[in-house]
Amino acid sequence: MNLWQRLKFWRLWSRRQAREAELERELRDHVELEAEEQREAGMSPEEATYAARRALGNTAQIKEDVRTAWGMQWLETLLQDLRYGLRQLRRNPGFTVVVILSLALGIGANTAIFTVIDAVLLQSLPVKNPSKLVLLDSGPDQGTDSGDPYVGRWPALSFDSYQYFVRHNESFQGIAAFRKGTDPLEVRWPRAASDGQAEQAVGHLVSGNYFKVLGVTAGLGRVFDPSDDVPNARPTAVISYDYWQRKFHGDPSAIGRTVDLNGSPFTVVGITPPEFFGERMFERPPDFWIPITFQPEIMQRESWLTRKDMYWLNFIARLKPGVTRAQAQAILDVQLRQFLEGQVGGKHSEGIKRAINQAYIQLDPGQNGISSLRAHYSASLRLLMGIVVLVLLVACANVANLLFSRSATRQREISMRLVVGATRRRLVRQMLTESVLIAIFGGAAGLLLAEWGVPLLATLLSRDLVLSVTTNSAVLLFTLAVSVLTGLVFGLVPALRVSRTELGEAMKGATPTGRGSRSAVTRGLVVLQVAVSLVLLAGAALFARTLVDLENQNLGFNRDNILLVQTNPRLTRLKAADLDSLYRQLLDRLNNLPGVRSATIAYYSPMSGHTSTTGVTVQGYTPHPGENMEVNENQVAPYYFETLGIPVLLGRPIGPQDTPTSPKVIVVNQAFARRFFHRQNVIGRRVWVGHESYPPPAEPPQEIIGLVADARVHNQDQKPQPFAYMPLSQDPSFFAGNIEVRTAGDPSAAAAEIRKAIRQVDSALPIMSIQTLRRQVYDRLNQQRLVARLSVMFSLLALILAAVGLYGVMAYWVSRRTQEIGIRMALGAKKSDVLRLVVGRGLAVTLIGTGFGLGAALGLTRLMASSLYGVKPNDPLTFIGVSLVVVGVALFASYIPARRAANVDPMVALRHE
Amino acid sequence: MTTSKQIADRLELMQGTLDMLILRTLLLGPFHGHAIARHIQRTTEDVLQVDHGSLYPALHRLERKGWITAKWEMAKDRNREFKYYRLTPAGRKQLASEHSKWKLLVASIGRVMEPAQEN
Repeated sequence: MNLWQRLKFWRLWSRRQAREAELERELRDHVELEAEEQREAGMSPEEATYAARRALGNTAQIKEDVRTAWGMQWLETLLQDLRYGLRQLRRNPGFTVVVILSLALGIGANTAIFTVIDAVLLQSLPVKNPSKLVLLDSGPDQGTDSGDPYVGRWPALSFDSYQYFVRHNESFQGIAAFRKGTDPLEVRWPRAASDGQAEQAVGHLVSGNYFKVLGVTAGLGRVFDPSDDVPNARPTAVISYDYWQRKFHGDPSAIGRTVDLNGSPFTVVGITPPEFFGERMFERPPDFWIPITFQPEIMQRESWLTRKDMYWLNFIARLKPGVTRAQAQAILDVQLRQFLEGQVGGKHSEGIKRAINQAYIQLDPGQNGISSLRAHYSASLRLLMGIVVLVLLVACANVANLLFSRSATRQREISMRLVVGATRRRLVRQMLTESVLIAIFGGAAGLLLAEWGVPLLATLLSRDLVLSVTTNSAVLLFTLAVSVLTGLVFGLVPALRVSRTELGEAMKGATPTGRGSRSAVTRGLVVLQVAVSLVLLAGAALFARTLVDLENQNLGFNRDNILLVQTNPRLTRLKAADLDSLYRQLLDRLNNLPGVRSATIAYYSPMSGHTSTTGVTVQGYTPHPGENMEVNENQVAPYYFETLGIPVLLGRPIGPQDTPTSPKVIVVNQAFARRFFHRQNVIGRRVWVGHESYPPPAEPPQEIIGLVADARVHNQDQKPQPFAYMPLSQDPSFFAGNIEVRTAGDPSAAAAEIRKAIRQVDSALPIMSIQTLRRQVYDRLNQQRLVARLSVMFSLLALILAAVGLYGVMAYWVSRRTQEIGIRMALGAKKSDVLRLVVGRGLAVTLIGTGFGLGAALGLTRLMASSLYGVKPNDPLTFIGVSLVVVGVALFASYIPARRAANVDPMVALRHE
Repeated sequence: MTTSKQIADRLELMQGTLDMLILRTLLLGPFHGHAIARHIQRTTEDVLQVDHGSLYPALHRLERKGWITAKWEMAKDRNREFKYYRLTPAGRKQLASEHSKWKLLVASIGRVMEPAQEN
């Protein structure tokens, strides 16, 4: 409530109080005047007053009617109902605790998942008016591309195409470019700031108008302007608020300092505001922003600004008022084709013309920024949301059942109120107010649970999560809405029951009416609970089996006892020609360490999530027209196959004899051999790597010297793809930074030794990370693990709630039939007969629920077929297993009340009435 | 105590009729609640019994609809304030419309009940 609303509310309230007083006075006047009249007619003063009061009738009722006429009645009623509801809850603390706990679990799960969904899928960039922003590509970074222009969607731009769009801009207030992906920085602060030691940081190359387009102004100093991003500009950098706090503890003298970034000096001109983190959500945000004109210095590469065939830029642009994203996109499409035609020149073939006409730009909404998490997790999060909604449904059924049995015991109270004149509508309203009140308490408790669960979820989602996933107003609103809706759902059944209460019957005795319909409803609710839990369990079991299958997948390499060290030789200022000697020194040094079995270097480390493909031309293989000739590639140093434990089936592995000057060689895997050679001998065959065109080019091909077994080095669930391994030494353009070391013992224990050895070879070689290969493989399944764990957890929660529901129904049933059981036992029934009677009843309900559940599960699990691996969606073993679990739990839940029934003393039971 | 005989002599007011009678009464000038009840009862020679319990809700309802207004005013005959109600122009119009509807109703019912008078 803002101040104005609050004022209005209080004015209303005080006016209300005054009106009440007036009404009181008016009625008093009336009685007085009436009494006066009666006295004049000859009554005694006492009699007269009495008669006058009687003539007026029930003043409380009149006041109520008058208030209805005022139209503020609903508020009054609501407050009254709330007070009454609170009293009811206080009176039954046991009931209250069970109900609120059930709801807290259900609502808490929903809030937790929604919080993550809100953060990952819904939150906007913290910049000015983010809804007006558009992105060339909002997907996760696919890296840079070089070569021919794209045919089809353009997800990246070259520098000159970006400039073309800027020159011909019609739709945007501004177009800002930034490099796809971030760059590792080696940072050296002069003097005291860091003892001259180098440290790692993240840098991002952005155009000079980047901050202006986003509408971000400096927290301190200034942000870039276009003059920072021109050839021969003074090198400047903007640092992030977080970095400034970490490094300078908020000291403003950071501005104006010179810092060495990857070997070149830059002047810090400003600090971003605290909430700004770039256009990327949920990745490690940049510490430094640098104008793109300094790309060669930052990347330690040749200039990409002049290369027309290098596609490395994304852009974010702000739409002019009144221009839609679709309009802007249509204009860009035309401009893109004009740009391409200009590049090709006047004359071009039909094929090129067609290719140009197929090129297009698809703008993505920019308000949520770029997020790899969004792309990876949106399906999983939606699925989890579905799961928690079902859990909440089970919790609702539980609470409805509890409320229902309580409404039976409240029958007398309700009848009494009907007799004294309460309308049914009023009573239903009151019951609903009570259940919504309960639900709101449950929601509040659920918020607390979520508060505890969300950080856990967030760490499961992403290990280097930088942004905090927080409870914001959207989450609170969601929880409130869910709570109120929940309250209405589970309160409806008992409330409607009130409206059907038969007055006379209810007043007569303690026996609640409509027993048949009551037990039908409660049993129906239990059937629903059992069925939903079974569906959830079946889904969870399938996910769990998928995870186990993937974890135990034979990857084709040995993941144990390998330490991965990630370095970056680009940051050493070595020339490409010096790399081979660096590699040799590293391998010599590492392979001679006592605890090391073998060590190697590769461009990509296995299961890192990074890969690249290259086109090939294979001697003796004629591709079909349009056949995709791309294969996976990796550039590896000697001992790669030995270190990873990938068996060499034929020929020899890449070894020290493969040097920059020796004949060019290549090792392929079985999938490669199968695809191109049909199991014929592959050794000695020739391949042109990097050339897709046929016939092969004039330059000398690479000769296949070895055949290795298939290995899954990218994904656990992917079939082995054709793979080409090339010697690292034979292509100096690859600055490979992934060192793999097989150790004799625990790889983590050898980390310090290995780190020291690398330092000794080249102290300038930065070590970005060290971890075991086992860990890297494990992390590759984080998403599947998250889904499997959470779905198992939630389905068990649902099962427990269902068991509590069944227990409640059976316990109630037993308590109502104590007398009948007593009679049976008096007539000779044994304890085992009674046990069988009660358990059998519980079992019957469970079996019906299981039947429905199996049917629903068979239909629903088919939808998740694409997320499963190694197990079919209708896997009979899984379905039998979960059915047995459900039945087992149900037996246990009905056994407890059954045992109580069996222990009934017939004499006590019969005397009961 | 009111006997059952007396009750039989008196007529219950139909819903809605009370509103019209209140408006009609206020046409004579401002009255407080008790005076309105007394006026209706006296004018109908105690045939129409105004239920005091429903009088006040009706007054407040009419006030909310804007047909009457209320003000605490000094009584002429004694030295204290009462809540006086008076007709608004909107109330006057409402009364006219209800009056004509009522006349039509009475005439129509009359034609059904005593068809002989028609000829």
